[in-house]
Amino acid sequence: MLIGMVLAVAGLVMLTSAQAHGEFWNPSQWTSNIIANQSPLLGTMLLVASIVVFIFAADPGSSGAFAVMHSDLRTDRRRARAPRFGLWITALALAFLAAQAVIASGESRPSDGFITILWLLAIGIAIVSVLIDAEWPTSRTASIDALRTWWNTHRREAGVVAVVVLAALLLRTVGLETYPYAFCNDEGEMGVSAQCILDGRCTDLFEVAWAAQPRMAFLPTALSLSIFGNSAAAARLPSALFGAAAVLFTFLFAREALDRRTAFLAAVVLATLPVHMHFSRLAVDNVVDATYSSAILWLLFRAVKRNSIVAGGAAGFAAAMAMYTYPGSRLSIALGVGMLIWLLLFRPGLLSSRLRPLLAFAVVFVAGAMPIFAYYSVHPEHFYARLSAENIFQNGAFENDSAVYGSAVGALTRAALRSLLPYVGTNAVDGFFHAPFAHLPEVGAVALLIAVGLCLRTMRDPRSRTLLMWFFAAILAVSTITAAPPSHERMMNSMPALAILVAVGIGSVADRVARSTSIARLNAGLIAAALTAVICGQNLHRYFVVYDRQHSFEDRTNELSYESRLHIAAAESDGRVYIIGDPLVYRMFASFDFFSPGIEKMDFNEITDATIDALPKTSNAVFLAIPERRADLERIMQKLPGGVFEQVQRKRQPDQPMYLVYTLRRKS
Amino acid sequence: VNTSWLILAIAVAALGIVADIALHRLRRTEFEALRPITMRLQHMLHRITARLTRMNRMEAPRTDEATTQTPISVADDPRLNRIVADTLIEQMPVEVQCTPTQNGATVVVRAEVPAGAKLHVTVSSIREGDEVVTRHSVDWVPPATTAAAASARSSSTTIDSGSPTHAGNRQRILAAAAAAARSLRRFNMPRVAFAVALGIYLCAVMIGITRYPIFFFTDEAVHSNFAAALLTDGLRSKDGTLLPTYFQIDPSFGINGLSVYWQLLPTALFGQSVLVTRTTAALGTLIAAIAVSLMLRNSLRLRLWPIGALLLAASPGWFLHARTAFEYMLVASFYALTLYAYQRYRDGSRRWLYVAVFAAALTFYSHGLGQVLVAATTIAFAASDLRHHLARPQRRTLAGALVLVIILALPWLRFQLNQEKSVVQEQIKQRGSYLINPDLTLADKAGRWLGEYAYGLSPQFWFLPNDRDLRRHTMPDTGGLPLAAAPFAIIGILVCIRRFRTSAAHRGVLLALLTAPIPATLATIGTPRTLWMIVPWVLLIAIGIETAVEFVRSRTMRLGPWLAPATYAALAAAPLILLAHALISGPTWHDNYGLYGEQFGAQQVFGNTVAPTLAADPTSRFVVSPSWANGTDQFISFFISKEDRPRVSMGQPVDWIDRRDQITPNTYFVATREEFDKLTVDPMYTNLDVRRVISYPNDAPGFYVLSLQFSADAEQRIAVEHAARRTPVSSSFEYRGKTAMAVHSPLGEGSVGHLFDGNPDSLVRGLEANPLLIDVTLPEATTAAAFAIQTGSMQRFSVTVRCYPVDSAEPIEVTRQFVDLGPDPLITIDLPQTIQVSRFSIEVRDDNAQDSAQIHVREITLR
Repeated sequence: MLIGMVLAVAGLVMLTSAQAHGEFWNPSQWTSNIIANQSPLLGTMLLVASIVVFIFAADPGSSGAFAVMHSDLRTDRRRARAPRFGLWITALALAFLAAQAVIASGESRPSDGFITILWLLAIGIAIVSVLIDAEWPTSRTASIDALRTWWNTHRREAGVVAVVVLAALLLRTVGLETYPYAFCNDEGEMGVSAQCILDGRCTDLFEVAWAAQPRMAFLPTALSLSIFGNSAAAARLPSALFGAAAVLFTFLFAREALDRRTAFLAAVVLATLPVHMHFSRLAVDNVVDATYSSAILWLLFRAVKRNSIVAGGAAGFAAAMAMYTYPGSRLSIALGVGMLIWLLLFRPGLLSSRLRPLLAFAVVFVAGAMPIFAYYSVHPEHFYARLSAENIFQNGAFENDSAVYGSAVGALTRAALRSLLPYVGTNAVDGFFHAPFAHLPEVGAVALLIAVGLCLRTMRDPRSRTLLMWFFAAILAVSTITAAPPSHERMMNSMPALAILVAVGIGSVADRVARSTSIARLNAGLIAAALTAVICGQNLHRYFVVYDRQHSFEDRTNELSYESRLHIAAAESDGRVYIIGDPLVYRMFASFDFFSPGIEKMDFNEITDATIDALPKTSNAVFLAIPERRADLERIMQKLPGGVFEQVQRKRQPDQPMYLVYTLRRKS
Repeated sequence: VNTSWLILAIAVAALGIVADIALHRLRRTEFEALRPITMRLQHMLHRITARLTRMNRMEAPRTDEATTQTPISVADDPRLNRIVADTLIEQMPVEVQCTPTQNGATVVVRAEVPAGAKLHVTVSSIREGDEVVTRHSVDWVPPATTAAAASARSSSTTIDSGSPTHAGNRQRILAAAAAAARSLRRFNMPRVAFAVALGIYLCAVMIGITRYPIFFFTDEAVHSNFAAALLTDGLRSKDGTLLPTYFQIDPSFGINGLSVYWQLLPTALFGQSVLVTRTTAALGTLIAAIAVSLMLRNSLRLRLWPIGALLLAASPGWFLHARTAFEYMLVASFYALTLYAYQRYRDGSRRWLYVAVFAAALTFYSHGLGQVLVAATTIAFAASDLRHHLARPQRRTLAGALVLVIILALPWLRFQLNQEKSVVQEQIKQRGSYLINPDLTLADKAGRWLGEYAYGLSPQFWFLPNDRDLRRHTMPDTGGLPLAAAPFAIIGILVCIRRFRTSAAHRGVLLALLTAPIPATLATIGTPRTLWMIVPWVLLIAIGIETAVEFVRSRTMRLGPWLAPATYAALAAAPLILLAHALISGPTWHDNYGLYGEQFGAQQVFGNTVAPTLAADPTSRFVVSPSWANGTDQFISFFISKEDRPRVSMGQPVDWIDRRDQITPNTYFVATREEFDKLTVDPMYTNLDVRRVISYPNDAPGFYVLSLQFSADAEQRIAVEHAARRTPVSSSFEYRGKTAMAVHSPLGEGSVGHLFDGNPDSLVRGLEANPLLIDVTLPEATTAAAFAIQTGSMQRFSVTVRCYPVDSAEPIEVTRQFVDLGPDPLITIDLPQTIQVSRFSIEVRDDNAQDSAQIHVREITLR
C-alpha cells in the first residue's frame, strides 16, 4: 500500500505541476510533451499504476468497510403469507386518467388543478396500499414499543447524525444571500419560473419549462419565495435543504450497505465537500441529483436487504419525483435499477423472495411518473431536449473537437480526463464552479484511489459495483459526452459516491495503520477521524477562503444584474429601465425580472439623437450602462439633463467599475 | 369539462376499487391453491438466477454439480442469529456449527478447500445494529504451499527485526514475488485470457472504425435513417404501423426491422454519425465472439477455448464486415448465439432451447436470407437430433419452445397478413436469382443450385482470393479466412467426421457448415451474404488447432507448457496485425473508388463538405451527383440536419435548366471527376468556378465542388437534345418465333422484345418520351379481343391503343385513364370487337408529368 501511496502522490504532484502549461489539455501534443511533464499523461499513468497497486494490496477480508458481510442478503425462505387488500389497480387507473388528462388538448382538457389533484390522489392511494401491505400501523416495526426500543438503542447515533446534518445545513445557509457571489442569471431563471407559479400564470405542473425541466421542479423555489420573499437567499434555500438531505441519505446508504464508521465519515466528507457545498448554495437545482441518487439507492438497498415493502414504496416515490426535476436526475433512476439488477439477478433466489417490495416500488413509481411519461410521449423533443442540446455527438462539438485535436480518440480522451482529473489532481475549472483547486485535497485524493482499488478487488460484491457505477456514471456517461467538460453541475450525481469512497479509503488506511503499529486497534477510529478532520479542514478553508479570495465565481454580468436591483426599483412601477449593455448585458438576463418583476425594462443600445428624442418624457427613467458605454450614457445625460448620475464599483473588487446609472425622476 | 372529468374519475375509481376487491378475493381464495405454482415459480427464478450467477463468473459447467451444492447449517440459537455465513460470494462447501457456552458460543467451521487454495476466515461478533464488537481473522495455508509461506513469514521476520542487509532485501524481493504469484494464481487464467481476447476483438473491430473500410455505404446508413424517422414519428412507420416488422425503402424493396431497432437507442442518444452507426453494429458482433468462445468451452470442451474470439477477429472477411453497419453481421452474430444456445440444449440444459428459439427469431428478423438460414438450420437440427427432441424429458420443453415460436412469429404474421408478396421472394428477385429466370429449366436450376452450393462450401472460395466478390468486400490477396488456417480447418473437419455419431456438438458444427451456404445459393454465392459461414469455419479451425497442439504436446514434453500460451499469443497478435495493415494500407488497396469500386466519398462529400457549408452559410444550396454510389439520397437523411435538407438535392447541373434563374453564386454542384471533365468542355455551361476538390485516398481528385451558370443558348441546346431523345426509332425483335418490327420511343433500359417475353420482371424503361410509344408490326395477323398491359407504378396515367385491322387502313382507337392502381398494375383494355390485327400501337402517358418522364412497361399481351 505504501508503494501505491508513493505512486499516487507522485501522480498528483505531476498533474498539479503540469496543469499550468498552455498545451496541457491539447491531446495532439500529449505524447511529445510527456517527457517534459507538460501533459496529463504522466500523472494519469502514475495514478492508474497506484490503483493497480492498491488492487493487489487491498485486503478486503480483514479490513475496510467490506469486511462486514450481510447475511440479510441471503435468500429469504420464509413461508409466503396471504396478500393483504390494496388499491393497486385503482391507483394505476387514476394515474392513467391523470396521464390522459395531461395529454388532452383544447376544450377537452380539464383544469390544471384538477389534474394535479387527480395525480396526488393516485400517488396517495398507491402509498396507502403500500402501507396496508406492510401491515402499518399494526406491524411490529411500526409499533410504539418498537420505536421506543429503536430510539433507546440508537439515540446516540441519531444525535451525532443530526449534528452532522445540521452542520451541513449551516454550512450551506450561512451568508447565503451573498456567497457564492454573485447571484447568477440561471438562478434568476429559477426564480422567475417560481414567480410564474406564485403569480398563478403557470398552473400546469406537468408541462416542461425552462431548461427542459417540468414545471414541478420550480415548486420548492416557489414555496421558499412565498415564505421569505424575493431574495437571493430565498431562491437558494431549497438547494441548501436538498444538499443537507443528500448528506443524510448518503449516511443512511453507507450505514445500510457498509458500516457505521464509513457512514459517519462519508457524511462528514460530503457535508464539507466544496463542490457540493457550492451547488447547494446556488438556486439552480443541479444538487437534487445527489439527493435523489442517494435516496433512491438507500431505499432500494434497504428494500432488498430487509425485504421492506415500505422502503420499496418510498423508493418508487423518490424515483417518480426524480422525473419531475432536473433532467440529470433521471440517471438516479437508472442507477437504482442497475443496482437492483446486480443485487437481485446474480444472487440465487433473492429475486423471487423480494418480489413484494419490488412490486411496491414499481407501482408507486408508475403511478407517480405516468403523467410526465404521457407528456413526453406526446412531446419527445422535450424529453430529448437537454440530450440533443448538450450531447457532443448531436450538437457537432464532437466533430469540432475531433478536428481541433486531430482525432476522435484524442478528443474523447481529453473529455474523459477533463471530467475525471478534477476529482483528484487538476483544478476544477469551468462548469459553474471554476475553482482554483481539485474537488479533493491530497489526502482525500489518495483515499479515493485506495477505495477504487479496493472496490475493483471486490468487484463480485454488488456494493462495490454499485459504488463504482454510481461514481463513474455521471463522469463518463454525462460529463465526458456533453459539451465543455468538466461540467461539474452535471456530475453532482457522483458526489455521494465520492464521499463514500473517500470514507472507505480512509477507513482502509486507518485499519492498516492501526494493525501495523503498536497502537491499540481501537485507535483505528481515531486515526480515521483525524484523517477526515484534515480533509474537512482543507475543504472548508478552500471553499470559504481560497475560493472567495480568488473571486472564482465572480462575473461582471451576474454582478450587474444582481446589484442593480435597487437602482431599478427607483424607476417605480410605471417607469422604465433602459439597459445600455451591448455586448455584455441584455434585458433578457433573468435576474432583472426576478428582482424587479413589475418594472418595464428594455435594451437601449442604439444611441442617437433621434432614439433619445423618441423616449417618453413623462415617466421615470433609469439608464443602466456598462462602463464601456460611458460615452453613450453621457450623450443621454446631455440630451436629457436633470437626473442623477452614479458610478457603482464592484463589491468584491472595488477598484473596478461595475456599472453606471443615470436616474431621471419626472414625477413628484 | 371539469365535471365530465370528475364523473369519469369517480367512475374509474369505482371500477378500480371493484377490480381491486375482485383481485384481492381471487388472490385470497386461490392463495392456497396457487401455493404450489408460486413455489414452483420461486424455484424457477432461483434456478435462473443461479445460472446467471454462474454465467456471470464465466465458469465451465461442472460435471459433479451435485457435490458442489453448498451445505449450510447455522445453529438456530436466538442469541446467535447474526452469525455470518455468506456463501454467496464463492460456491464452496462450508458447514458452520455453533454451540452455546456460558460465555457466548463456540463456533466450528468445516470447509472443503480446493487444492492449493489459501483459506481466510474472519469471525466477527456483531451486536444488534451491525456494530462489530470483536473480529478475528485466521489465514491457513495448505501444506503444498507451506514452504513458500514459510519463506514469506521468515522474510517478514527479517523486516521486522530492522536489519536491512543484502540478503534481507533479496528475501524481501522473493517474498514479494511469491505474493505476486499467489495473487496471480487467484485469477482463473482461461477467463483472463478470454477477457483479454474480447478486449483485442473490440480493439480490432473498433479502432479507426471510421477510417476503414474507407467507404460508408448507403446500406449502412439506411438503418440509422429509419431509426431516426421512427423516433420522430412516435415509433411508427411512414404508413402508420406501430413498431413495424419491415421497413419499405421503395415499393419493391424493404429491409427487415431488427437492424433498425438495433440502431434505435444509439441514434436517440448520440444522433447519426458514421462512428455511432458502425460502433453500434460492431458491438453487436461481440455476441458472436462470446458465443463462439463459450461454444468451444462448454460444448466442444476445448482447453484453448478463449481463441474463438481471436479467430473471428483474425478472419479477414469477418474483420472487414464487423467494422461496417451491414445487417449481415447481425445475422451472423445472432446465428452464432443460436448455435451456442442449441448446443447447450443438446448438452442437457433444456431451458437453453428457449434461448435458441429467441436467438433464431433475432436471426430471422435481421435479414431475408436470415429467414432461409433459420429454416434450413432448424430442419437440419430437428432431423439430426429427432430422437433426443422426442425423448420424454424434452417433450415439455419442446412444447414450450413451440409456444414461444408462435409468439415470436406474431410480428411476421402481422406483416404477412397485410402483404400480397413474400418478402423472401422479393429479396430473391431483387438479387436477380437464377431461380426465377423463366429461360432456365428445372434441371438447369437444380444444376446451378448444386454448383453454387458446392462453391459456397469450397475451400477455394473461403481461403483464396476470388474474382466473384466486389473488391470493397474483400481484402487483397486473401479470402474470407486466412490461408494459414486451412490445414487446421481440414483437421477440424476430420475430427468432426470421426465424432459425427458420438458427439452432438461436433455433429452440430458440421451440420451448421453444411446448411449455412443455403441462403446465398438462392441468388449467388458471394461475400457478404455468406458471412455467417465464418462461425462454423472458426469452430472447425479451433478444433483443428487444439488437436494439433495436443498432438505436439504429447510428443514434445519440453515444449508442452509453452504451446498453448504461444498459440494464444500468436492468435492474439493476428487481429492487431490485420488492423494495422488495414488502417495503414487499406485506403489504397483498390484504386477504383467509384460506383463499381469502393464507392468512396459519403463522409467526405456529405459529412465534411456539404453539412458544414450548409450550417455555416444559410444561403447556400447543394446539388450532388448521384452517380458515384448506390442510393445516395440516403446520405442526405443521414448526414444533413432536418432543417438543412431542403437545400440539398441529388442530380446533375442539367437538371436545373428550367430553374437556372434560381442558381446563385452560393449554389454548389458536386461532380465526380469524369462529370467535371465533361462539364468543362460542354458549351452549355459558363463561369465554372471550382471551390473545392475532394481527393481520393490516393490523392487523385475525386469530387469537384463548383459553381456554374448556364450559357445564353443552353435552352436551345437542351431543346434540340430533348427532341433527339424523343424521336421514335425502329428495331426488330422476336415475336412467337418470327421477326417483328417496332417503331418506338428511345428506351433507357431493356428492349421491345422484353415486352412480349412473358416475364413481367424484364421491364422496359423509356428514355424520356411522354407518352411512351410502342408501334408494332406483326409478322402475321393475329386475332385480338383485348390488350393486357402491365406498367410501372404511376399515380395517374392513360393508355391509348390503336389497332389496325387487316382489312382496313383506319385504326380502332381505345383510350383509357387510370388513377391510384398501386404498384406495377396490370390493366386490360378491351377492343370493341375481336379483330385480326397485323399492326398496333400503344401509347402510355404519365398524366402527372410534363412531356418528359421515364415510363416503365413490364409486359404486353394480346388476348
